[in-house]
Amino acid sequence: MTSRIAFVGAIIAVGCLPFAADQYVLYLATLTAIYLMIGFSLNLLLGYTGQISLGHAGFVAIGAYASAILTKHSGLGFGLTAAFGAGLAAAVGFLVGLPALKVRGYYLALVTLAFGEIIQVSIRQAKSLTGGNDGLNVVAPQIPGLALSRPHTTYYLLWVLALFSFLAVRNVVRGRTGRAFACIRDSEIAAQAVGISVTRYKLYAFTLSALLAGLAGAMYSILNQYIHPDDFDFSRSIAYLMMVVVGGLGTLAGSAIGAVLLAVLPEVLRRFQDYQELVFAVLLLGSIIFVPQGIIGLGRYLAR
Amino acid sequence: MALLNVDQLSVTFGGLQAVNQLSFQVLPGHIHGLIGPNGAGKTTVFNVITRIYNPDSGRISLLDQNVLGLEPHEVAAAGITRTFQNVELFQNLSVLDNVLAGQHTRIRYGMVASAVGIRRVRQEEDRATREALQLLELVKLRSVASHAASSLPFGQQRMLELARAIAVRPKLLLLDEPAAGMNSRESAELSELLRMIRAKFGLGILLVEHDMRVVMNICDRVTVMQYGQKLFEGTPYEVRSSPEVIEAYLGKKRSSTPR
Repeated sequence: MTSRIAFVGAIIAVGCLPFAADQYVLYLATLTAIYLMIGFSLNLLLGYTGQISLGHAGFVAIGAYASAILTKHSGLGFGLTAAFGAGLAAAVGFLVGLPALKVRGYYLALVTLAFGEIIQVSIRQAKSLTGGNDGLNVVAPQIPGLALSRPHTTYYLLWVLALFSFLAVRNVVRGRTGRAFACIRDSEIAAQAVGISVTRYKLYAFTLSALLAGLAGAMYSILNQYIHPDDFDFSRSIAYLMMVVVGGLGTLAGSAIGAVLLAVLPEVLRRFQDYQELVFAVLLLGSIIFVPQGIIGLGRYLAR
Repeated sequence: MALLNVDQLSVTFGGLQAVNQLSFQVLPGHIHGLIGPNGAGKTTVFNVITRIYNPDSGRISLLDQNVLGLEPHEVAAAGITRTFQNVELFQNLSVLDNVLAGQHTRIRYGMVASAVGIRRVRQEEDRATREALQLLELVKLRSVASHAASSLPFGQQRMLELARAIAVRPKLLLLDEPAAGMNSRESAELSELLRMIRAKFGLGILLVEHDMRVVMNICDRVTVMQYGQKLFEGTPYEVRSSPEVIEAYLGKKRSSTPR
């Protein structure tokens, strides 16, 4: 019941915010929608399936660059190019999932970290396509009848997308597939004993997670209309990790709290910009040690 | 036709011959005991049947299906599931979700269907939940259905594991020391429950157990293993009066007839 009230409250707040916010706050609020999708994506993998990813920014990058490059060269509509970016990220997610069938724990952390770095280096090197270290200007998408360059339209579009992502992920984690994910997280051997294919569901988790991250990346490119390899480097992957761990693993509300935190925190910390990553690291460690269930878990504990 | 047919099964780990030319059959509707001293290879037999280990040679079939051709996760759908000596639950899931997980292969909808939330998803989940609650009733855990599995005391965790295994609706249930750590009243209750499960669900049970009260009480037939080989097979009564079995468990007798 409380969660339903919170959900409706959040929807109303999101719906009304553009009428009260200035341009900059609106930008941060739009960014939050993107972080939300990335948070659901990583939570699906880490919180529900128990598979770590230290290279999640790599999936976001694939979605961002693939959709931006396709838009630039093909002139296809924004819906199609975003779908292409997400689809390509999903395909790569499937491939990254393959080694996850063999390795776990620290070794999986290393595999995904290496994946993120490979994407980084590839983007910086493939200058003719990606612009390399100069970054890439993104053509503002045109949807007939909607002037998407207006920040309000982007805001609502992304929040509607985030809402649909939420509903889809919530449905998946509540049902048979989500149970299979959680079974694999808790005991692979018991999962097999009840007939769950560990191979299949790990690959599902990686593919679905990468799909969402790629979609978020495509949205990021149209929000900023300029993308650069630095937007997807290792420190972003760690920031995403902080977001889901501090918010609360295995709960979607936790990811939402984490997303708001990740969008707002850099502003709060603007005066200490050089130390931003230090603060993230302290938050991450502090959360793991003192509130392993995240902010959501802490809230539930205090409410009892 | 035998429900389970284990034929000339051999398993080695490095130089250790864990199972050596073992053959036995479990008949439909039977509770079949698999006993023997520690290290006799009983759990290894379970691990081969559930495809965790590959044998060096031998055949295993369930009715007329070749079990050794299956992947580990296909064994459940083929009709065999198990419990574990040290209890392997999905600790962070609720008691109810553990039993729902047991129905994984019987719930008929996929990931895309659940993402878009078609009506069949709701119907299947409702049906599965009703069924799971009935199973929890059977093992007296219905009142704690919403609790986390990890919050249950160990004895109840065993019962939950049993309910999850039945939820698979197997033709053959492999139980690895279900009575370990139970007092005599609890093990008597367990015997009663296993008999009832067999009757209600029409399944065969292969039971590894050290608690002889349970074995003697409910088994139709007992295979005794020692050093990976079959030492003896017969009814509980025959096993109890076999000099070889007594020697394997207690050492050579000097005089007087053993009980």
